[in-house]
Amino acid sequence: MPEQSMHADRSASEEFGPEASSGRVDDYLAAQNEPTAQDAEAKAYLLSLEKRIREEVAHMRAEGKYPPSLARRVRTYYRTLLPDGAASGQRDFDAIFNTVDRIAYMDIDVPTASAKPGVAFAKRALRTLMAWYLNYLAQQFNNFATNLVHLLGITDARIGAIEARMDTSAFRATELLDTTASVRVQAETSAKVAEILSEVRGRILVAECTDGALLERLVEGGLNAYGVESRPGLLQTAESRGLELREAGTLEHLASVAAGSLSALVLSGLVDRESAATRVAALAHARRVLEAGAPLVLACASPQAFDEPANRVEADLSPGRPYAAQTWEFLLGRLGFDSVTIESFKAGHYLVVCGNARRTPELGALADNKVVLQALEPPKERRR
Amino acid sequence: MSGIHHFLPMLAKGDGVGNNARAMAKRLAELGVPSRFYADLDKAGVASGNHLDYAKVAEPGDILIYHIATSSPMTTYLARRSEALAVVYQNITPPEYFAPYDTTAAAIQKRAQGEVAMLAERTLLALTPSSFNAEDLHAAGYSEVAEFPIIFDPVDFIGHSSQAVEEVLANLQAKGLANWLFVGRLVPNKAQEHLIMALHAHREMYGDSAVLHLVGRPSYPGYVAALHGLALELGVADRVNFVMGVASDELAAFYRKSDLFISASEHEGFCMPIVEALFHGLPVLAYDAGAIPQTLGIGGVHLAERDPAVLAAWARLIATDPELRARLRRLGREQLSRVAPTATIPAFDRAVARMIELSGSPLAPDFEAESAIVIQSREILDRLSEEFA
Repeated sequence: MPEQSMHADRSASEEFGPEASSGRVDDYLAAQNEPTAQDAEAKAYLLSLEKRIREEVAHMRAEGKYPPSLARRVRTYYRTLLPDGAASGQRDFDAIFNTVDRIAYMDIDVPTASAKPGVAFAKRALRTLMAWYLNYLAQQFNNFATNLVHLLGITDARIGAIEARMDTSAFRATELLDTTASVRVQAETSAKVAEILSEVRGRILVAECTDGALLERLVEGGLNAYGVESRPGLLQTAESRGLELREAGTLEHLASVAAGSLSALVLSGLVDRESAATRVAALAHARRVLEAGAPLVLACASPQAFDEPANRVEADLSPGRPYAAQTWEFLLGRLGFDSVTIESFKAGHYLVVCGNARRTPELGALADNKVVLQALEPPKERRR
Repeated sequence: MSGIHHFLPMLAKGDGVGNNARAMAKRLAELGVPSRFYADLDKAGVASGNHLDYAKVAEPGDILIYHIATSSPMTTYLARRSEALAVVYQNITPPEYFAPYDTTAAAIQKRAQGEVAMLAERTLLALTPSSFNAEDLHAAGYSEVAEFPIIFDPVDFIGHSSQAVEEVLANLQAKGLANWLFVGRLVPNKAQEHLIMALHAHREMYGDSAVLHLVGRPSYPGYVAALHGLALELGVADRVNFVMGVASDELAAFYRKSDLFISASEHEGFCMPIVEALFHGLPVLAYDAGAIPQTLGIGGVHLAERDPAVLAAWARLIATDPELRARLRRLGREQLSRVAPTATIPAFDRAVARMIELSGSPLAPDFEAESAIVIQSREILDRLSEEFA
């Protein structure tokens, strides 16, 4: 930011106001961060090192020194160390519920011991004198607290029953859907995705990457792509191809990616089988992590393709079903993506391609707002 | 005589909010504008009283600057007064980070968020050090938001460096261990667990060749216990150095002699330790979060994705590649000049002019007056440039 002196002959609004006013805050901020030639040089230099780092990490991982599965085990272990409520899970709910149940009781038997002479006697006397009054208050409070905790217990049981019937969070279907069943991105579709993304120069994420076939194709095309997959069997297959991978759920991974840091995103799997809330949450994350104008590609299966015998297990165990292309078009438009195009392939597969439109400050705040994203997330797996 | 007066829930030396307010007051004095502090807890001993004392000496044309940092009765007090109001917002950490550890702290943060919104309509101009914070303010309904980095006095960064700490760090280096430094309270939003995970990844990938120094006071025993437990389980407990509270000379030694500053923080409104690291020529490596991309700018390496292996690989490269270290020091120096008082004081002058214009106050600051902080900064930065070159 170049140094500017204050000129007495210019009005304050000329100096400061227009740039800072709410309507033009974007321009003001952009001017503050206007890149210089030195910025571009620094960025290029660090990008060259990033490539070196990426290759080194991939090489290390290929040697088994810090596989994605170990990173996940470490994260999982850390969650067990956190206090109640710091990690999502039924364990936390139960623990907090029990704590509330234990402390929802007012004890009027006040300790009266004291090292000072006479004080213990005075305390005992006060306790005796006030007992009728405190007892009256305590009875009311304990009555209220007991009923409240009872009500919480009933509510918990009712919500648990509803969730169990809805099948959306009783278990994570993907945990059962390892190598045996998964709708893969077809070769023809992969070729088209590679063609669409061939000009992308920045970072590309493929989630879920299943066995890594599409990801491999992108990497072979000279693209800077990496994949995310949560199923150990599929991950192992993808790892054997020497690809850069993370073992994580798609939403879990997207939440850890900085805003505007991806140049393209390919979503598959999740777009066919997850609940509506999860799909919308993934799109909201995509809006946040993609650069303005960057392409989002959804590799989808039609309901017929999803129900093919090869995919039957996945279809039966999944909480959601594939959408028609028009549904994606509607959702993407509502969430601020533009230039939506749809291309169909044989065997009931189709691609939805769109761009991440430049966001207004209001929409930017909305997309980055954790509360909104949390509201979009599916219920946590926290029922008995 | 009317003036521009500062309201802070707490005023203390060494505190980021307090330092910023003091630097503003110093500049206002140079501009010929009277400026007083009102703090409910005055640890620096410079306040004219608590917020209620202001009413006794209020003058027509006064402008009040509220440095909002936590929940305080000042908010409702200022909301009801008629003087022109500006707000300085350095961010309120979201309560969900604290809730599992301290419900009361979380409730206070929640209330503080509400108080930020409470003043939105009443505030003429909001000042904040990052666009990350500016989004909070827009969401809360503020109509005019201006952004410039926190004003710091570089003199505060210059001081005696502890020989004892320098020797400890040098001994570790002599044993082939790189010194990773993070400075910041041990709180969940700083996510020190990610640094421990990266240290573990580093050991898995490159062997036992780094030590992590976590310098900062603990706030929640449960969080510290989790960090200890993680380090123990991963077998790196002997390589994680919890430094819970340091003297200024010890802190200076950590900045001067470490190999890199490493941050995994998840939520930062500005992150002054990064600026301090840049000042000391320490290469900075950080995950992108909150205002960090803006504060760090081109001055260091920021990573978009949280991956312990990638963080470890970068840390390894920075610690072992002298050319990269030299380059990062130069870039850091450049970034420092963008957030230094040479840039922030003129921005503050413009903010003062705008406040006066919006409020119609009769104050007439002498904007041609030289700034002592700017002069000192220029000298210090020039000296640093020579040193880094």
